[in-house]
Amino acid sequence: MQQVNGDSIGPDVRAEIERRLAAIEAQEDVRFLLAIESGSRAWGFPSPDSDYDIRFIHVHRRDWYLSLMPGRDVIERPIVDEIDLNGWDIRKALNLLFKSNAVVSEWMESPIHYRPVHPVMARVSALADRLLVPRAMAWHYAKLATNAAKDWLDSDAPVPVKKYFYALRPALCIRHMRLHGGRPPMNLQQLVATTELTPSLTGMIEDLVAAKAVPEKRAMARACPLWMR
Amino acid sequence: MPAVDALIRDEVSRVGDLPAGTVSDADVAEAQAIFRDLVNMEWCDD
Repeated sequence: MQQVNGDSIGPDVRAEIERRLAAIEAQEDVRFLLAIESGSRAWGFPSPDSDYDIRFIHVHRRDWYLSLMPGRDVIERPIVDEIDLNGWDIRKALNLLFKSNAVVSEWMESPIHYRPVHPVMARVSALADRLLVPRAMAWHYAKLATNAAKDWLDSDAPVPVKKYFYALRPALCIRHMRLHGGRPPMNLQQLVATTELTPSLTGMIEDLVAAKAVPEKRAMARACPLWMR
Repeated sequence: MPAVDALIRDEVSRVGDLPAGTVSDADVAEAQAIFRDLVNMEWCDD
Protein backbone atom coordinates (compact mmCIF):
# COMPACT_ATOMS: atom_id res chain seq x y z
CA MET A 1 0.00 0.00 0.00
CA GLN A 2 1.38 3.38 -1.00
CA GLN A 3 2.40 5.92 1.62
CA VAL A 4 0.05 8.86 1.19
CA ASN A 5 1.35 11.34 3.68
CA GLY A 6 5.11 11.11 3.97
CA ASP A 7 5.84 14.08 6.18
CA SER A 8 2.71 16.10 5.60
CA ILE A 9 3.87 19.04 7.72
CA GLY A 10 4.42 22.21 5.70
CA PRO A 11 7.56 24.26 6.43
CA ASP A 12 5.69 27.23 7.92
CA VAL A 13 3.68 25.05 10.29
CA ARG A 14 6.76 23.06 11.22
CA ALA A 15 8.62 26.27 12.05
CA GLU A 16 5.74 27.42 14.27
CA ILE A 17 5.57 24.05 16.03
CA GLU A 18 9.33 24.13 16.66
CA ARG A 19 9.02 27.67 18.01
CA ARG A 20 6.32 26.57 20.46
CA LEU A 21 8.33 23.55 21.54
CA ALA A 22 11.33 25.77 22.25
CA ALA A 23 9.07 28.05 24.30
CA ILE A 24 7.83 25.08 26.37
CA GLU A 25 11.40 23.97 27.02
CA ALA A 26 12.28 27.44 28.29
CA GLN A 27 9.09 28.02 30.31
CA GLU A 28 9.00 24.59 31.95
CA ASP A 29 12.77 24.05 32.21
CA VAL A 30 12.59 20.63 30.56
CA ARG A 31 14.38 18.80 27.77
CA PHE A 32 12.57 16.77 25.14
CA LEU A 33 13.50 13.15 24.65
CA LEU A 34 10.95 12.76 21.87
CA ALA A 35 8.67 15.25 20.08
CA ILE A 36 6.47 13.74 17.41
CA GLU A 37 3.24 14.06 15.47
CA SER A 38 0.39 11.87 16.61
CA GLY A 39 -3.12 11.70 15.15
CA SER A 40 -4.21 11.32 11.56
CA ARG A 41 -1.12 12.87 9.98
CA ALA A 42 1.10 10.26 11.62
CA TRP A 43 -1.50 7.52 11.29
CA GLY A 44 -1.37 7.95 7.50
CA PHE A 45 -4.88 9.20 6.73
CA PRO A 46 -4.73 12.99 7.01
CA SER A 47 -7.15 15.50 5.61
CA PRO A 48 -5.82 18.87 4.48
CA ASP A 49 -7.57 20.49 7.45
CA SER A 50 -6.51 17.93 10.07
CA ASP A 51 -5.22 19.32 13.35
CA TYR A 52 -1.58 19.06 14.31
CA ASP A 53 -1.32 16.76 17.33
CA ILE A 54 2.15 17.18 18.79
CA ARG A 55 3.13 14.88 21.64
CA PHE A 56 6.38 14.74 23.58
CA ILE A 57 8.19 12.96 26.36
CA HIS A 58 10.29 15.27 28.50
CA VAL A 59 12.70 15.15 31.42
CA HIS A 60 13.06 17.72 34.21
CA ARG A 61 16.20 18.61 36.10
CA ARG A 62 17.12 16.38 39.05
CA ASP A 63 15.84 18.83 41.66
CA TRP A 64 12.35 18.69 40.20
CA TYR A 65 12.20 14.99 41.03
CA LEU A 66 13.54 15.62 44.54
CA SER A 67 10.92 18.20 45.43
CA LEU A 68 8.82 17.61 48.53
CA MET A 69 5.77 18.72 46.55
CA PRO A 70 5.62 16.60 43.37
CA GLY A 71 5.10 18.64 40.23
CA ARG A 72 2.58 17.87 37.52
CA ASP A 73 3.82 15.14 35.21
CA VAL A 74 1.88 16.44 32.20
CA ILE A 75 2.54 19.59 30.19
CA GLU A 76 -0.34 20.93 28.12
CA ARG A 77 -0.93 23.98 26.00
CA PRO A 78 -4.25 25.31 24.69
CA ILE A 79 -4.99 24.53 21.07
CA VAL A 80 -4.17 27.58 18.97
CA ASP A 81 -4.44 27.62 15.17
CA GLU A 82 -5.14 23.88 15.16
CA ILE A 83 -1.81 23.13 16.87
CA ASP A 84 -2.29 20.94 19.94
CA LEU A 85 0.78 20.31 22.12
CA ASN A 86 1.03 18.14 25.19
CA GLY A 87 3.44 15.69 26.69
CA TRP A 88 4.33 13.41 29.55
CA ASP A 89 7.26 13.30 31.94
CA ILE A 90 9.63 10.36 31.41
CA ARG A 91 8.79 8.88 34.83
CA LYS A 92 5.11 8.79 33.90
CA ALA A 93 5.95 7.31 30.49
CA LEU A 94 8.14 4.57 31.97
CA ASN A 95 5.52 3.63 34.52
CA LEU A 96 2.87 3.43 31.80
CA LEU A 97 5.05 1.03 29.82
CA PHE A 98 4.68 -1.46 32.66
CA LYS A 99 0.99 -1.50 31.74
CA SER A 100 1.75 -2.00 28.02
CA ASN A 101 0.41 1.47 27.39
CA ALA A 102 -0.38 1.81 23.70
CA VAL A 103 -0.11 5.60 23.64
CA VAL A 104 3.55 5.71 24.70
CA SER A 105 4.27 2.81 22.38
CA GLU A 106 2.72 4.65 19.44
CA TRP A 107 4.60 7.87 20.15
CA MET A 108 7.84 5.93 19.80
CA GLU A 109 6.66 4.62 16.43
CA SER A 110 5.61 7.93 14.89
CA PRO A 111 7.07 8.56 11.44
CA ILE A 112 6.95 12.36 11.93
CA HIS A 113 9.47 13.95 14.31
CA TYR A 114 9.86 17.59 15.36
CA ARG A 115 13.09 17.10 17.30
CA PRO A 116 15.95 14.61 17.08
CA VAL A 117 15.16 11.57 19.20
CA HIS A 118 17.31 11.41 22.35
CA PRO A 119 19.58 8.32 22.31
CA VAL A 120 17.99 7.05 25.53
CA MET A 121 14.77 6.40 23.63
CA ALA A 122 16.40 3.38 21.98
CA ARG A 123 16.68 1.85 25.46
CA VAL A 124 13.09 2.84 26.26
CA SER A 125 11.88 1.28 23.02
CA ALA A 126 13.76 -1.97 23.71
CA LEU A 127 12.28 -2.01 27.20
CA ALA A 128 8.79 -1.45 25.76
CA ASP A 129 9.30 -4.49 23.53
CA ARG A 130 10.20 -6.63 26.53
CA LEU A 131 7.38 -5.28 28.70
CA LEU A 132 4.72 -5.80 26.07
CA VAL A 133 1.76 -7.85 27.21
CA PRO A 134 -0.12 -8.27 23.93
CA ARG A 135 -3.47 -8.95 25.54
CA ALA A 136 -3.27 -5.82 27.68
CA MET A 137 -2.40 -3.59 24.75
CA ALA A 138 -5.01 -5.29 22.57
CA TRP A 139 -7.74 -4.49 25.13
CA HIS A 140 -6.89 -0.82 24.69
CA TYR A 141 -7.27 -1.09 20.92
CA ALA A 142 -10.45 -3.14 21.23
CA LYS A 143 -11.96 -0.44 23.42
CA LEU A 144 -10.98 2.25 20.92
CA ALA A 145 -12.49 0.29 18.04
CA THR A 146 -15.66 -0.54 19.95
CA ASN A 147 -16.23 3.04 21.06
CA ALA A 148 -15.61 4.35 17.55
CA ALA A 149 -17.89 1.80 15.92
CA LYS A 150 -20.70 1.48 18.45
CA ASP A 151 -22.97 3.93 16.64
CA TRP A 152 -22.68 2.38 13.21
CA LEU A 153 -21.20 -1.13 13.16
CA ASP A 154 -24.57 -2.75 13.71
CA SER A 155 -26.71 -0.23 11.87
CA ASP A 156 -27.23 1.03 8.35
CA ALA A 157 -26.38 4.61 9.25
CA PRO A 158 -23.92 6.53 7.05
CA VAL A 159 -20.39 6.52 8.44
CA PRO A 160 -18.05 9.51 8.30
CA VAL A 161 -14.82 8.15 6.92
CA LYS A 162 -12.90 9.58 9.87
CA LYS A 163 -14.88 7.41 12.28
CA TYR A 164 -14.29 4.41 10.09
CA PHE A 165 -10.56 4.82 10.55
CA TYR A 166 -10.92 5.23 14.31
CA ALA A 167 -12.25 1.66 14.38
CA LEU A 168 -10.25 0.17 11.53
CA ARG A 169 -6.77 1.19 12.66
CA PRO A 170 -7.16 -0.27 16.19
CA ALA A 171 -8.54 -3.48 14.64
CA LEU A 172 -5.44 -3.72 12.46
CA CYS A 173 -3.23 -3.13 15.52
CA ILE A 174 -4.87 -6.16 17.17
CA ARG A 175 -4.38 -8.16 14.00
CA HIS A 176 -0.72 -7.17 13.84
CA MET A 177 -0.15 -8.36 17.42
CA ARG A 178 -2.06 -11.57 16.74
CA LEU A 179 0.05 -12.35 13.68
CA HIS A 180 3.46 -11.13 14.84
CA GLY A 181 3.33 -10.74 18.61
CA GLY A 182 5.21 -7.43 18.74
CA ARG A 183 4.18 -3.83 19.21
CA PRO A 184 2.18 -2.62 16.21
CA PRO A 185 3.32 0.21 13.96
CA MET A 186 1.47 3.50 14.28
CA ASN A 187 1.05 4.14 10.58
CA LEU A 188 -1.90 2.66 8.69
CA GLN A 189 0.08 1.87 5.56
CA GLN A 190 2.63 -0.09 7.60
CA LEU A 191 -0.18 -1.89 9.39
CA VAL A 192 -1.78 -2.87 6.09
CA ALA A 193 1.59 -4.07 4.82
CA THR A 194 2.12 -6.33 7.83
CA THR A 195 -1.32 -7.78 8.44
CA GLU A 196 -1.73 -10.09 5.44
CA LEU A 197 -4.99 -8.64 4.16
CA THR A 198 -6.57 -9.77 0.92
CA PRO A 199 -5.99 -7.54 -2.12
CA SER A 200 -9.68 -6.74 -2.04
CA LEU A 201 -9.55 -5.47 1.57
CA THR A 202 -6.35 -3.55 0.87
CA GLY A 203 -8.06 -1.87 -2.08
CA MET A 204 -11.04 -0.88 0.06
CA ILE A 205 -8.75 0.67 2.66
CA GLU A 206 -6.87 2.58 -0.06
CA ASP A 207 -10.22 3.93 -1.23
CA LEU A 208 -11.03 5.05 2.31
CA VAL A 209 -7.68 6.83 2.58
CA ALA A 210 -8.39 8.62 -0.70
CA ALA A 211 -11.84 9.64 0.57
CA LYS A 212 -10.30 11.05 3.74
CA ALA A 213 -7.78 13.12 1.78
CA VAL A 214 -10.31 15.91 1.15
CA PRO A 215 -11.12 18.66 3.66
CA GLU A 216 -13.13 17.11 6.48
CA LYS A 217 -15.95 19.64 6.21
CA ARG A 218 -16.48 18.54 2.62
CA ALA A 219 -16.08 14.91 3.55
CA MET A 220 -18.93 15.27 6.01
CA ALA A 221 -21.21 16.96 3.49
CA ARG A 222 -20.72 14.99 0.31
CA ALA A 223 -22.75 11.88 -0.31
CA CYS A 224 -19.94 9.54 -1.20
CA PRO A 225 -20.80 5.83 -1.39
CA LEU A 226 -17.44 4.99 0.15
CA TRP A 227 -18.55 6.32 3.47
CA MET A 228 -21.76 4.38 3.43
CA ARG A 229 -22.15 0.86 4.59
CA MET B 1 -18.23 -1.76 3.46
CA PRO B 2 -19.24 -5.13 4.91
CA ALA B 3 -15.83 -6.76 4.45
CA VAL B 4 -14.10 -4.01 6.44
CA ASP B 5 -16.83 -4.12 9.07
CA ALA B 6 -16.34 -7.87 9.38
CA LEU B 7 -12.59 -7.39 9.81
CA ILE B 8 -13.15 -4.89 12.64
CA ARG B 9 -15.70 -7.13 14.34
CA ASP B 10 -13.51 -10.22 14.01
CA GLU B 11 -10.33 -8.66 15.36
CA VAL B 12 -12.06 -7.05 18.34
CA SER B 13 -13.57 -10.43 19.23
CA ARG B 14 -10.15 -12.13 19.23
CA VAL B 15 -8.38 -10.09 21.90
CA GLY B 16 -8.60 -13.02 24.28
CA ASP B 17 -6.46 -15.09 21.88
CA LEU B 18 -3.47 -12.89 22.63
CA PRO B 19 -1.02 -13.93 25.34
CA ALA B 20 -0.92 -12.39 28.79
CA GLY B 21 2.43 -11.82 30.45
CA THR B 22 4.40 -10.74 33.47
CA VAL B 23 7.03 -8.13 34.28
CA SER B 24 10.47 -9.40 35.25
CA ASP B 25 12.74 -7.96 37.93
CA ALA B 26 15.34 -7.32 35.19
CA ASP B 27 12.89 -5.10 33.31
CA VAL B 28 12.08 -3.12 36.44
CA ALA B 29 15.82 -2.68 37.02
CA GLU B 30 16.34 -1.48 33.46
CA ALA B 31 13.50 1.07 33.75
CA GLN B 32 15.03 2.31 36.99
CA ALA B 33 18.47 2.53 35.33
CA ILE B 34 17.08 4.55 32.41
CA PHE B 35 15.39 6.95 34.79
CA ARG B 36 18.45 7.30 36.99
CA ASP B 37 20.73 7.96 34.00
CA LEU B 38 18.40 10.67 32.71
CA VAL B 39 17.99 12.40 36.04
CA ASN B 40 21.76 12.40 36.53
CA MET B 41 22.63 13.60 33.04
CA GLU B 42 24.48 16.86 32.57
CA TRP B 43 22.45 19.59 30.92
CA CYS B 44 24.31 21.43 28.19
CA ASP B 45 23.68 24.79 29.86
CA ASP B 46 25.06 23.60 33.24
